[in-house]
Amino acid sequence: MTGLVDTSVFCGCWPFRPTALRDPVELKARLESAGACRAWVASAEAVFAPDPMQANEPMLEQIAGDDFFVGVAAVNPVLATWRSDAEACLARSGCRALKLFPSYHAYDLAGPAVDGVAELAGSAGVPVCVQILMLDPRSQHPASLVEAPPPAALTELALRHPGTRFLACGGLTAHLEKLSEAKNVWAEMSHIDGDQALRRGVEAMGPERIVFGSHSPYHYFEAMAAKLDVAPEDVEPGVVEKVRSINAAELLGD
Amino acid sequence: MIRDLLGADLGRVVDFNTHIYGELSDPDPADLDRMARLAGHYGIGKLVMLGNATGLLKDHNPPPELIADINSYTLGAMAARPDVFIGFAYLNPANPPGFTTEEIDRCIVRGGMRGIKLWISVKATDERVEPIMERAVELDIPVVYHTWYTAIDTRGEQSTPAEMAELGRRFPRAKLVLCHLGGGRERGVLDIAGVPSLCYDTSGSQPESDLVEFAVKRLGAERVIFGSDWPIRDFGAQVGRILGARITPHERSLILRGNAERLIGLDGEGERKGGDK
Repeated sequence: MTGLVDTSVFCGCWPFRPTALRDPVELKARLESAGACRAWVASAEAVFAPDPMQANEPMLEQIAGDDFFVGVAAVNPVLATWRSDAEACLARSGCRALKLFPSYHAYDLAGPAVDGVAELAGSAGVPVCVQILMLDPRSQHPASLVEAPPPAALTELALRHPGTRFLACGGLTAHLEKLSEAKNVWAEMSHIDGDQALRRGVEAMGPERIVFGSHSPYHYFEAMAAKLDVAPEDVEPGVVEKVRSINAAELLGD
Repeated sequence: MIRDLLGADLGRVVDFNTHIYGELSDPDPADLDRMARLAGHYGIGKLVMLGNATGLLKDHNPPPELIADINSYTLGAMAARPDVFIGFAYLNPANPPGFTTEEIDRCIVRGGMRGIKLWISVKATDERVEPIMERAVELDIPVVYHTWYTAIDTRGEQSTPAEMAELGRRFPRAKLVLCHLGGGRERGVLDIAGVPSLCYDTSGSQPESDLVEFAVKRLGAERVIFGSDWPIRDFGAQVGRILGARITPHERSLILRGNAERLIGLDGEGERKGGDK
């Protein structure tokens, strides 16, 4: 069985889970002990930082030279310097994806600045990760209520930029039907749930466009990995291997 | 692999919170076998059936006819797979008291169900809950009650853990189990910490890290019970939520089966009070 590639983990401080691991070194140890061989990591601090670079730069510094991590730089296209900042991140060793938090950075995926991010990522050959949910909407802090971007907005963004690869992070099972309409959108598993979560994800997106994601350290990694622990009769041959690592490599452009 | 991690609990896990989708006729044996097989893959040997979800979703405030149909389905599941299914009677405290009394007799006293499930038809603080609680205490059976804290819209007359704590104080001898640790989260745990008769099931929302540890620390492992809420949730992910928690093997075993066995009396057939077994 191939190693497990996790396309959605976070480091740094996330105020709503104050006891979660923050340090990439500790996070790596925990993920490796549970079976991960690689993790795409973004800084949770970028969600609330006035300038995401205040979170991106120290994280990229911490993971530099460690092939376990794929660095994911947060971009806020509302800010005037987003392009130069994104380019600076992608020029650094280990940074191979961009991430958008439209709910928390308060913009519409249909806006022109987002198209700019998609064009930049397409030119650079890196995927754009779009965070749909960070928390169950019911579990949000009452002073920090946000609405998830509609999945249709991500689908439309992807259809406008067919040369760019997108990853829907934190999307629910109910979002998949709409997301599947754009063939350059992948979805990670962390919030896909229900009776046989893997089967539901694969049926909606196809076996090539579902990737493993744990949303660690805010979800139990073992719980997320267990979604791929299915009986042979419940999945077509080869599908688990694709979700464990093969599809993620395709998405990353390896 | 989940099965490798379960050790002595493999095949003995009790899932305290399950439903099933299906029409409210007699259960299709194939549906029941499939559910049992999926659960068994993750080491779950016993399934507490809280009511057919297709029936539940028809009406948050179900009339007697719907309650009877849901419970008849559960009785059918128990008859078809007595090795797996443990039925709980789904009740609506807003129904006429005479009907509810007879339904308890039909399902529990004569039918062999082991507990009562209440959802969102009335709040835990509603006085119409009291006759059901009194009968549950007489029968020495657990009452499972849906609870949640939500920051957005709420459904029906959803109870909060604080309201459950109030109910627990009024009925200190009752075996009350709150559904959805993942819905009440830390606040819910703190609400019930001072009411020692109350337990929490681990289901609800995504498997958010550190919540199981928090519940064990504040309540003690004896008050935390594994529940999946299948088919709303994935069996594997829900067992994985317990296996991922940094707790001792003894605490884990209590959560996965020991506490449920104690509450239901799985090792004490015929010991229930007030029954006619």
